[in-house]
Amino acid sequence: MIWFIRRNPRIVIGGALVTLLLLVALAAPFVAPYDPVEVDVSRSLLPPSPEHWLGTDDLGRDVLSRVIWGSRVSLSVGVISVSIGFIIGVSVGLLAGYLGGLVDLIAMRAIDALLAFPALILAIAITAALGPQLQNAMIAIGVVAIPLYARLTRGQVLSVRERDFLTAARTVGVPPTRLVLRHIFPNITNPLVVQATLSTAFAILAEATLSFLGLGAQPPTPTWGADIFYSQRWLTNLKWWMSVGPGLGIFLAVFAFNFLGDALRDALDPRLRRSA
Amino acid sequence: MGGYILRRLLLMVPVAFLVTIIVFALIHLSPGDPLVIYAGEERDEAVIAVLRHEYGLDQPLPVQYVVWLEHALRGDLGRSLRTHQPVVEAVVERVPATFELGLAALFISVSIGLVVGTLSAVKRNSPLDLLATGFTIAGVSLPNFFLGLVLILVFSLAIRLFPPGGYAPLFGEPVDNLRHLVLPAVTLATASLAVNTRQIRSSLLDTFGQDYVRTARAKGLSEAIIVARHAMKNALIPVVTIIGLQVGAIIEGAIVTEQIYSWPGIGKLAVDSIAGRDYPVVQTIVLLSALSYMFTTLVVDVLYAWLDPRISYGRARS
Amino acid sequence: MVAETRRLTRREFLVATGALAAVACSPAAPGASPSGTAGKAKYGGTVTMALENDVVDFDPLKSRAFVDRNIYYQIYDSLVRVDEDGKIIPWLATKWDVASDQKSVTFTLRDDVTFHDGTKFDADSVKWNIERYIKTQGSQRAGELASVASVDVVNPTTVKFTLKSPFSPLLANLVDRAGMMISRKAFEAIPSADDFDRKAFKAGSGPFMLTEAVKDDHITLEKNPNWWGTDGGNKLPYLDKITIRPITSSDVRFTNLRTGDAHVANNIAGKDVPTAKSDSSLNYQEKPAYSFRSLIPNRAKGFVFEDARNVKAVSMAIDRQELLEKGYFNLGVVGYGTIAPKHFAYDPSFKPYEKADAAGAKALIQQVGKPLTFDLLIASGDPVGLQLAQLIQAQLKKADITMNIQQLEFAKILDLQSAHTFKDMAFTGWSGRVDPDGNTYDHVYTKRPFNDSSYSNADVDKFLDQERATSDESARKTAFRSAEKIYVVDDPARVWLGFGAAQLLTSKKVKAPPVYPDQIVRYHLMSMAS
Repeated sequence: MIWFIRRNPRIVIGGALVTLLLLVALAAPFVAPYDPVEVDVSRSLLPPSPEHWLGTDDLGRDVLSRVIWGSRVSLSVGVISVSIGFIIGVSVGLLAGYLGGLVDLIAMRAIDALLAFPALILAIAITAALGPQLQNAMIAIGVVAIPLYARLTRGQVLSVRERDFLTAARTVGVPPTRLVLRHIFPNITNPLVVQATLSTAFAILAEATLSFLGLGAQPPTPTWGADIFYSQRWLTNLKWWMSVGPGLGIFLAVFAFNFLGDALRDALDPRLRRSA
Repeated sequence: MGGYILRRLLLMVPVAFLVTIIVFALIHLSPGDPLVIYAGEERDEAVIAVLRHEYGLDQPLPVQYVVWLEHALRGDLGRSLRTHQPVVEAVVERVPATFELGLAALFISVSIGLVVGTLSAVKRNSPLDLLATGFTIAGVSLPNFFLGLVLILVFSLAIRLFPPGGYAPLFGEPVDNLRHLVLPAVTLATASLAVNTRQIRSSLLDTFGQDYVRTARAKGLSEAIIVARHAMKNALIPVVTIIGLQVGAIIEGAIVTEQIYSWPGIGKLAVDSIAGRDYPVVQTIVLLSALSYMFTTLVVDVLYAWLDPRISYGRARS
Repeated sequence: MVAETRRLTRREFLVATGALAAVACSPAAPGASPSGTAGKAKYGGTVTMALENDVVDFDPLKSRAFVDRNIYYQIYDSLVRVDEDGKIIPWLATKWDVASDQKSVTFTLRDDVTFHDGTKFDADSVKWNIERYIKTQGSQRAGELASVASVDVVNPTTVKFTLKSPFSPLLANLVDRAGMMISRKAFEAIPSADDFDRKAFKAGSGPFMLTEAVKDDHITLEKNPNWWGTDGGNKLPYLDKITIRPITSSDVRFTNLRTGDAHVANNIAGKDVPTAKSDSSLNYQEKPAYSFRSLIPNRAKGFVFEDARNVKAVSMAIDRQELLEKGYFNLGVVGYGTIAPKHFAYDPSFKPYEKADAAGAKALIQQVGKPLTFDLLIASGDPVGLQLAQLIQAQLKKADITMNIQQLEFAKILDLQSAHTFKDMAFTGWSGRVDPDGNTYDHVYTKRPFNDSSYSNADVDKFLDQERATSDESARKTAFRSAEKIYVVDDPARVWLGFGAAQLLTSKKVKAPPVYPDQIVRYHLMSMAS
């Protein structure tokens, strides 16, 4: 344990940050000092104080409580959309890589077409088409992530496919599904874990951007991006705390996953380290 | 080389075709009848039926797609539902503002990235290097709309150095234009700057480990000469790739940045059009951003192959 | 909360509907200015205006947006205009005579007017313009001119409108877009009407000429050196050039004025008014407007608000004073119906929902027998509307009413409203008209265009018919008040929340004209401060 910490201090720090975030999100009802949606205009626009660490907004809601509850939305979008991208992307990649031929050709052209769009623009276009809702934002961010996993998986499958142990396994008649699950998949998990961590960071950032543009969760649900959009008009009156709270929330969450992903990449995937 | 470019161009054709299908499908996925809006509030079912026929919207989707594609290939992408302006004209009008903002951001992110990245590679593990590394991860983690608001708060509202938004034409009021440009350009540049700095640093470190640099060192050449003459040239190859890929990041970033600063470019047009359900405009912007992104990727790959003869022309883009 | 009101008035048509004024024809005033800004004003100078949105259409025939009118008043002249108090004054027409049977109106026109492209304005121009507004398919002006049977040229300076039936609001309609004149030559020079709509350069006859329009970037208006208007002997206009920059964010507009990057704005958020007043580089003017703020229930069959008691319960549960203070930041006044304090028919003692009454609302819902839960539609991308909606949500909660907020694109809400298919309730306002008829008739009379709540009450219709049929002020007053009591209290058509304010924020570098209740800046009277 101590050896691991000394060997990989960045993984430990990143992991601790991510764990802390997850804990806060899970324990939001107990950690948040106030009800995040309760309106009480008699205490509106209060600057930070011992009662309200991050002040209150124009409806008298406690900003800190909204930031804490906002972490739930952000992290669940991160987890769900990355799962969508991961499951579909890895399946496509495995199939394409393992089967090859026409399947591979068609799948990869489709992936190329998805990659042809700047990721955020595609996510915005999909959400706008499906309608501004949290689950549509999740789907959009998930779809955008598919090509990354598909490419990564396919590349790894191609590189291990012709290895001796697989050829041997195939010769002795191991069924293809088992071959994939037992022999190919374990060989490609490391880069996938790195990718998943990094794309959680992207997903959180993308969700924040979508809700900043009004395409995410609807009010009064506390979400970081929408809260910044909502609060920005108060900047001219120098009520900065309303925007700074959720802004720091996004920053910390994205930073934590980026930091962890970066550290994992260095530790798990020496091949990628050079270009890190 | 010519053969390589040709092959890449041919490969682009099926992808571009799929891209148009995705764009077309996206718009027709969305619920709601665009014509109802187009017809205005005093609409009449009979008039709408005529219009629907006129616009071919009563045809099956594949037919509509072919018609749309055919018009698009002729440069006719319809008229904006909001302003009745031809879509192509509306988009082209906005290109200069976005182009200016993008170039400024690219300039900032590349020039500062080069300086800081080089310094941090040369003085590896120095406090400066650590600080720069910390900043780069922070830079990519900071949402640009939040950074934008902080910059407005500090530089427009607190010390009133730059305007908080708006635009002045470059030709006509150049000084005013630059004043308006500073904050959005910095906002847009930050994320790319982080990526660039990091990329330059690691590719320099990579070349430092190569044999010819070691030879140069052994010959007693000064570090400055080694960096400038030997390492930099080779290290720039992956940097070209990264800069090329920045184009995508800048197109993405422009959406939010232009919105925050009321900068009248493509990004703001996109957001306004989404809010106004102006499908022809949204469709065109999504299509154009995909095509220009594909095109830059191609250019980057060609440059890459040209800069580094070791790379086989058959290499797929990563 | 003007931003919201403005956004919600895109479909409005005209500035003044003065049934009375049409009859009480005023003598031809010699100058353009009703107010005495005269003296030794300074000529020259360029001002920049921060406008809340880009102009949608330059052709008055197509216009549905409030922003358009901010430009139109500078570049187009209309047959008549209104003064600061909403009284109709001569403009292109120096006088008008209404026939005794009220079935025709004869206008005498100015003889010294040329369009910006050099063609002369005369009776033929009027005939061509009015016929274009009436006959063009898809004309937004057709409804306002529906009563006109024909327009006949008597001689070059006399034109006669023949009406299908007496229609007292006609003159008031000619104040705004339906009475605006464009040059036939300029229009016909551009083959596509869609293109003219975007490039109507030098097509009007107003104090300024449209010379440049770059979508969402800027609009340039240059001085018309040959304009006919004068101000106490001074030839108008004073300014050389107006640059109009569309800036959608109220905060950015306000900051642009504070930093001196813009000189004029007519719409800033209520929260910024105290700062505007205390800023020594700025001049802030405010005047009560005719605009109202309202929640529109869908009272059609099968919707939750079909039952009038549910509408009334919402109206009772809302604390309008708190809304004004904490939501609108004291911009405007509390109100309960359509007749604003500045209207002649206003009744200051009419305060049906003065105190929020959660208990009363609960009792009413109990009577209905089903807990009240509904959706409120608000325009997306509007933090101001969002704050108000959440405030209302909290107020209703005290009466056990559950209100869910739905954000939709503004255009989509308008569609649903005019189709009468929106679910439950929508939050929209009205920019206001100088005559209470313009605030009321089309909104609550059975099947009228802005009667989005599908409201129908025979007594209300009867009283409003009476109000239109007479020109006697006290009779109209009685009819209006009787109707208002029904559509606000007995059988509520909507939940009205209050009335708005007209604003004019200017830099001290310019000498500002007075603010008009119609909220449009009179640039022909503006000059640089000496």
